Amino acid sequence: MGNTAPYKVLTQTELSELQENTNLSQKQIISLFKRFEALDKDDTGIITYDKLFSIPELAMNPLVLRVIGLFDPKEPDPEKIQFNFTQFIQTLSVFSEKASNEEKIRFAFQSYDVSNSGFIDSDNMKKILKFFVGDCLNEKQISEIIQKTFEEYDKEKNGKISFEDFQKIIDIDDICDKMTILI
Amino acid sequence: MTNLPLTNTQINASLNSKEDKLESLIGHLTRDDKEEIQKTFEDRMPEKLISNLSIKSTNGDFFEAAKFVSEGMQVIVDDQFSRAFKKKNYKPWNFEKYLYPVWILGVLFRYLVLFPLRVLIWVGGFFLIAVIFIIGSLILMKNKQKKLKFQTYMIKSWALLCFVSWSAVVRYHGTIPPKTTNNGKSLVFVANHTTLNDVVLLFRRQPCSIVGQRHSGFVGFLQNYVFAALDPVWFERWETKDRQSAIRKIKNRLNSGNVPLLLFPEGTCVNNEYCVMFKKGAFELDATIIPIAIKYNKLFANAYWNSREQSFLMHTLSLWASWAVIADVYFFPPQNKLPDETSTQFANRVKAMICRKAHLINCNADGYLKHVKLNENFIKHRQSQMANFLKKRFNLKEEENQNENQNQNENEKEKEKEKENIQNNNNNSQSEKNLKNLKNQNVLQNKKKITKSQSEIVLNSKKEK
Repeated sequence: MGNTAPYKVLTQTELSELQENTNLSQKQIISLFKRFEALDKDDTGIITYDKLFSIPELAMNPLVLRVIGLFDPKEPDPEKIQFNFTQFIQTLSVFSEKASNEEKIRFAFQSYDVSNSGFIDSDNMKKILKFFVGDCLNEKQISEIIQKTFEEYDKEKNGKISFEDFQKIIDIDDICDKMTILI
Repeated sequence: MTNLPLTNTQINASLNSKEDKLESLIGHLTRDDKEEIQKTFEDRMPEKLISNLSIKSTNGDFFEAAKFVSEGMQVIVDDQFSRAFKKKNYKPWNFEKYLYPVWILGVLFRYLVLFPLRVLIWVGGFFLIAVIFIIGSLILMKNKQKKLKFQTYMIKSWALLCFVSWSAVVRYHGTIPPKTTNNGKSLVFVANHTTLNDVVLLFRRQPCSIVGQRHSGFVGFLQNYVFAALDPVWFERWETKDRQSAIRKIKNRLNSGNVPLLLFPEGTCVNNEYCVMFKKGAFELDATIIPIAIKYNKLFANAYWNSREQSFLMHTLSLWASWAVIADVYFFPPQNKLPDETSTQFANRVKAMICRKAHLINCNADGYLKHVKLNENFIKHRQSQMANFLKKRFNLKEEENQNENQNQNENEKEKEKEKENIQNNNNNSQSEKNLKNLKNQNVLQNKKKITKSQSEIVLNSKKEK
């Protein structure tokens, strides 16, 4: 899926190239490389849905399907997701301390924008809820939840939340705090 | 400490071969086993899930997607579960010009002097003890009590032999428990598990019969010829039939009250930094439990046996080539299941005690997950948990199986009802300020209506006039 061939070993040039394109230090990239290799159990240079799912704590996350989906936003089916080391690094780079607030908020927005359409509408909400509950709630119940959420947040009453709207709604510090992890 | 750095390809190659072995291992799992593992995991899940849930829409993160996504990413970067089975890496301390020669001398001394000496001592001592053991047992064959006493003594000396061969320094804390409770039932020792050598540390103080998995090779040899004196209960982990008979055996053993039983409820070796989920089996026996915390000092030897990377023989050899095994063993006072406690809660309570004492990080994943993958049922279970949570959160009503047999008219009626419900629910879920605003609005609207109707009345009356 990626543009580059799988790395067997990181060379210095590759390392500094990755460092320029991401918010990560060389040390962080190297430790992520080790992690990538550990997750890539059959050594193909590509991580798939199955490989990620073997992390029990990730499997316990209610949004596991969305988390996996975010590694390749263009792929609608999370089970078909696969990505190489570059994509892995680029996605995780957003969660670095050095990443800008803009990047983080975009990513948080992206988390809701399942269809990669540029705005959050009821369809996206529905997909998020489906990740949470699968078939355990019926259509009616889901649409009820969505309706309530929109009543609370969609101030322009147009059934869509754009990125600009999203920025107004959210507590920016809080979200950016949340979107920072230890790498 | 002395491992040479391997190249990535070498590491991967060794990992792959281990993975193949694992796959063949999983092949032995019966469906029942898998289901049981799945079930225990599902049992523990809700508490963790619910504690993470707030799905409050206060900061614009409508369903907390950002929070869950970021938690997911954190776990992808590094998860507790795999950390629990990793050897802890220490910063190299020997890369100083003035320390390096000393370190090299140390390595030479350990491998050329200490190692052969220790192997000699252990092997020689082992044969000596074995001969005395067999002869003594034959002489004392008729007197059962004396025989047991003698054998216990010999096992203790064998533990001492192991201590000498490791240059072990083991400090015992707390009172060493008696062999049985007052009512003649055996005690059950429950300890955290780092290596099979845990057993030796405990044997030095109190020989006990081990309940554990049957191994092959060097461990199998120890199991068959050394531990056998104490009536251990071995079972094949992957055979359900054997496990049930093991439980029966354990229960019989408890009543005989000769020696305490020793169980490692983690079911697998963990790196002595973490503690994985305790299997509740040991806590369902209705027995008095002595929790034991074992903490190793990793400065002079790495006591963690990673069974996926190392055979037990290699592990033991590497211990012989290390400076010394240093450990603290804490015995706790006897614990019983409280009347209103489930066995899972009891297991967690004991686990928390051990974790606190040995400074272990309490991790709730099942150690078997090293070998078994969670399947789709697990996800379904979690989704239904989430659904129940959302139902409560948004005051949804149960309306199942009604959709199919309904006419359009009824649907429309229901929609109207739903809208009413939604309005009511909104009032519930919104903050007090909003509530007040809404009420004010309602009042205003009502007033307007009233004024409208009044004006209409006035108009009408004017017309009449």
